[in-house]
Amino acid sequence: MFTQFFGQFLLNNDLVSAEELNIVFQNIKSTRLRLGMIAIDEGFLTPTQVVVINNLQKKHDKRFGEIAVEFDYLTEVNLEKILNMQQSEHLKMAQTIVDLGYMTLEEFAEALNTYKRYYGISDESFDELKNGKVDEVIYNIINTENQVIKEYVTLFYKNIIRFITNEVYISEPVKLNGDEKFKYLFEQKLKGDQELYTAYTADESVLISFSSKYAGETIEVIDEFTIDVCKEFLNLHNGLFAVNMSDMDSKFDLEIQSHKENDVPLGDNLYKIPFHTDFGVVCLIIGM
Amino acid sequence: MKILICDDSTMIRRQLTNMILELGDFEIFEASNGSSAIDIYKENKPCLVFMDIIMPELDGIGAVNGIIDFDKMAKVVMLSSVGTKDNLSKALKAGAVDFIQKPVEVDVLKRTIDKFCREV
Repeated sequence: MFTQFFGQFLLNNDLVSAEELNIVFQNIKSTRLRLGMIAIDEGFLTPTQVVVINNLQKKHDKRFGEIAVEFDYLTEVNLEKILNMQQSEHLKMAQTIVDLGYMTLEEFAEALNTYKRYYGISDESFDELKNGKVDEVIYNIINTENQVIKEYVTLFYKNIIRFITNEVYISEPVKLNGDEKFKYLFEQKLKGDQELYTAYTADESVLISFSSKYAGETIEVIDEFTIDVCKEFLNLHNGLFAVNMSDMDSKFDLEIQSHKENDVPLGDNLYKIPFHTDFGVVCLIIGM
Repeated sequence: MKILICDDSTMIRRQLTNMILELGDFEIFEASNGSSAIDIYKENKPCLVFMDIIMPELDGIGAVNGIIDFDKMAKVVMLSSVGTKDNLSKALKAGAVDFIQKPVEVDVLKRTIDKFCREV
């Protein structure tokens, strides 16, 4: 999930093109992370030391880690640590981008620091993001003081990952002007300590993929069953949200979920929050 | 043995039916709202009912009341995404015997069926 968030940032800041980013995403899965890259990221080695070790490898025909320990560049403990980090998502992204020649390692590191400053992500939060914990990043993107909305959007993100796809990131909310119609709109109101209008929408092909994944069966058209599946996802998500809020002594009751076509969402101060997935964009609509 | 599934979602009814049939030889009845659940219960007297809460016409709590009024020994298990303390309390007061939080897992379903259908 880090790669999607950070990839969007690189794109928005013209550090990579859309085509290049696409190629990066395709290549990341097959990228085998080099130990030198991990060691630099952890601060165990400098880029120059990595080059020296690579040259020694050619002379001695031994593995990177063995050479690094033999020549006292790394301790056994540090080597073990970096060996355990070979699935690191953000380092695979760095290595892929650098290997493809889109950025240098220094440029990538600088972009990462800018990203952390821009979103106010502390080093601790960044570690959490690397480990898949995105709460603070999401809070910073949606930029609201309303704790209920923060909880809602974060849970929606987590439920997309839980039930639909783990390749998803969100981008900044866009205020709705009140006139914008949506071809498919799935809605549910929550009433309790505060009233919450919730809805989501997507294009037809995206909804077909979305509902297929959620139902766990092949769906090829939008029919009564597809509508039912889409409504049930919102109902499940809102139910889980109500449970979470109940645990925090905040009460929400759910009204019956519904759907509309070619219509506008009803509510005040509505925003749509794009959730970018590997099969298209799903927009959450919520009053903020 | 007969089991009644009451949920306004076709997908949920279908998924639950498939899961239950994998667990044994059951006769499954379906209802999409609380009113029809009461009618189907009266006609077929299933050993177990899985009942959603948020439904049109008559919600799950109303349906539990209706079923228990007819049959005080009825075994109704709530199956809902809204597993709040409030709903749990209402359901148990109405006469439900258990509450399962959606999404339901096969092992929880099996344990529930074993427990309440075996008691018959």
